[in-house]
Amino acid sequence: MAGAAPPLARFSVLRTSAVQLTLLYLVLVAITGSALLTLVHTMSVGLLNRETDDSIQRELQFLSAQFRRSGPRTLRHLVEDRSYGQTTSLYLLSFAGQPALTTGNLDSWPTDPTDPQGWVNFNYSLPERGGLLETRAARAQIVRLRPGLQILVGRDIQGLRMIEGRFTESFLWAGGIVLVLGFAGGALIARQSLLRVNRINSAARNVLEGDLTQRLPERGSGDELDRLAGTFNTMMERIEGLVKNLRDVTDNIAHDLRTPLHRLRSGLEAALLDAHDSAKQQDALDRAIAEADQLIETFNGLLEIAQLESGVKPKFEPVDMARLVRELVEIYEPVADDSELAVFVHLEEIPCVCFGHRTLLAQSLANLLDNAIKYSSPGGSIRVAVRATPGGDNEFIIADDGPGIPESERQRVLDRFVRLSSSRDLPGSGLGLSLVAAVVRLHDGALSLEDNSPGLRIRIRLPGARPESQPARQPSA
Amino acid sequence: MHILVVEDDTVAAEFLMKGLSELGHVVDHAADGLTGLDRALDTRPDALIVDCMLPELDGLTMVRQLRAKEIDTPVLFLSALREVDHRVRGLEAGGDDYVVKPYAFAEVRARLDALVRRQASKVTASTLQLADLELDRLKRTVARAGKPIELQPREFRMLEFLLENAGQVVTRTMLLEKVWGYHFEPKTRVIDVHMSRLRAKIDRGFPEPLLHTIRGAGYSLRTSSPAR
Repeated sequence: MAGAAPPLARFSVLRTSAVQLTLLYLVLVAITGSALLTLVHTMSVGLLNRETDDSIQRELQFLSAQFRRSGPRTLRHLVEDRSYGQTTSLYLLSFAGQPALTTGNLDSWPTDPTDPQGWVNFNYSLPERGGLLETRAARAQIVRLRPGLQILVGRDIQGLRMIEGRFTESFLWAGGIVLVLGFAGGALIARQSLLRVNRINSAARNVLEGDLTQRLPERGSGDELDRLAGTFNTMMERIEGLVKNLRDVTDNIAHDLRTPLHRLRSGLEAALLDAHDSAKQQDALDRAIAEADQLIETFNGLLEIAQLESGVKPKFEPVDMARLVRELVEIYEPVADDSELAVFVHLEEIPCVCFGHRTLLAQSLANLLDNAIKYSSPGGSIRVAVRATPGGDNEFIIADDGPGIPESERQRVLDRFVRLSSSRDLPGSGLGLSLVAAVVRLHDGALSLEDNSPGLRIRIRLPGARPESQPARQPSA
Repeated sequence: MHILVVEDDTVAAEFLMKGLSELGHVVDHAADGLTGLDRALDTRPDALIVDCMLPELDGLTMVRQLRAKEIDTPVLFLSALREVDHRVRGLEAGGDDYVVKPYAFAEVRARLDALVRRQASKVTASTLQLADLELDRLKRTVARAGKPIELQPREFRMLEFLLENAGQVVTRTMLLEKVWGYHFEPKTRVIDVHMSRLRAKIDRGFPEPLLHTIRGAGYSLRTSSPAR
């Protein structure tokens, strides 16, 4: 049955959905993270930068106003005053051709390129306490107040630069950690789910190779893979059951059909030998037909059960169990009477409607009545009852006072062809009860065999019809 | 009677044709659904026996097309399919009755007779009579040689069915179907017990028995002179 199985596709980690999802997730995290950090950057470092530029501009405006009002001399004094002892503000004022007048706390004009508004970023040196020169970052605006007169106002931004550097560093660290953790997490998830998927895959392959006992561990977490494992297990149970059924049927056909077939064949051969005696021949042919009929009955029974168990539901309709029982008892009562058996029927006044297949249910009841009559001894009695249970189900009970079935054998008699050794000489195919069991299963009902001490009591519970098709229940008298 | 057998299994077809010709019928055969449909339209047989599974055109479709042309020749379906709802589908397609393969010839014969008879006498008489046995459908009384006989309702229905088919064989399956309305194979004993009770009521004490057991087939209500 198993053809060449397709080669197990080599799982490329990149092709698994887990990894793809992880990557997508990473990209999203990266984008959001960058956006957030950019915002924080603008709000903090950007604000500080703008603040610096503003204060430079304000001071320049003040100084140029002073220059226009009071002339270069005052300006020079102002710059000189402000430069003194200053560490964070930088000034330089120079008059073309008069280097002696140059004032401010900056040694020389920055050589870095300026933008059209005169803004410039540059480095300057500051003597440290140990006599060494320290290079620091600065930002300044250079304004020409009149030809030959140029002023620079700046700020030491070494601190800001450091904040900025820290910021970038944190940014990189954070990004790196997110990426590393994301990747690690993703890989872990992918590996975990891959492992589970691979386990499902290899279990399925073992099934392909014929091992139907394969089951997957269910963790009970209820996630998709767990549910998949659950479905797989249920499926496997069903398949295993079906295959076992098939095997049983084949075995049973081999055992139980071979014998009557052999008898049929011998009978026909005997008829050929009896060609000279037409009465004997007629007799042999009649017996052969009877054998064939028995075979057909068995065969039909088998097919019917197989069909019932195939899982395809026939059309259901509301069936009044009480009425069905009344009618079948009416059919079987004369038969019971002939065997000197009394049949007692107890039916409720209210209809016990279940949703089912009338013919199949009727046939099941017929089989049960037939069995009860067959296995009871003369003088006994058969009790049949139908009642509605408080839970809305219908219960059918048939009890006899015959030999009963030993507890150890009760489950086995529901199997096909099982006839207890004590009843081998009675006619029948041994399919009666298994058909009943199959019909009950088809109706989602329950069947149980109980001790009637003495005798056998069979209890069948069938779900009641759906409320809309069920008449209102009143407590019965 | 002219009967058309539409059956692709030649052995089964020959067996049916042999049996039916021996009963004095004129039997025609078609091996597939299309030929069967043509033959049925050309020759207008009195009854059709149609296998459900046929090459070219399946039996159900064939009969549906026949019915669409308003031809109401009685049709007896044969089917190897024992599906629970298959009978219903056969009857919905326009068949009149249904026999599951493998079948006993007696079953086919009895059902065919019942179909043709039903077709011939659509008017139901209010009283049915055979020899000195009388059944009044309206008064629901039975009498033999003028003496009233008490029957249970089911016994009455059994006798009515037997009388409707007087002279013909009715099988146990047919009885279970027509009298009780159940479609499954009865255990032989069940119907026999009912029949022996009926026989005790209508035949006991009368010189000529009317209810006969036909070995390997079923029962027949008839006067002693063999019908066929």
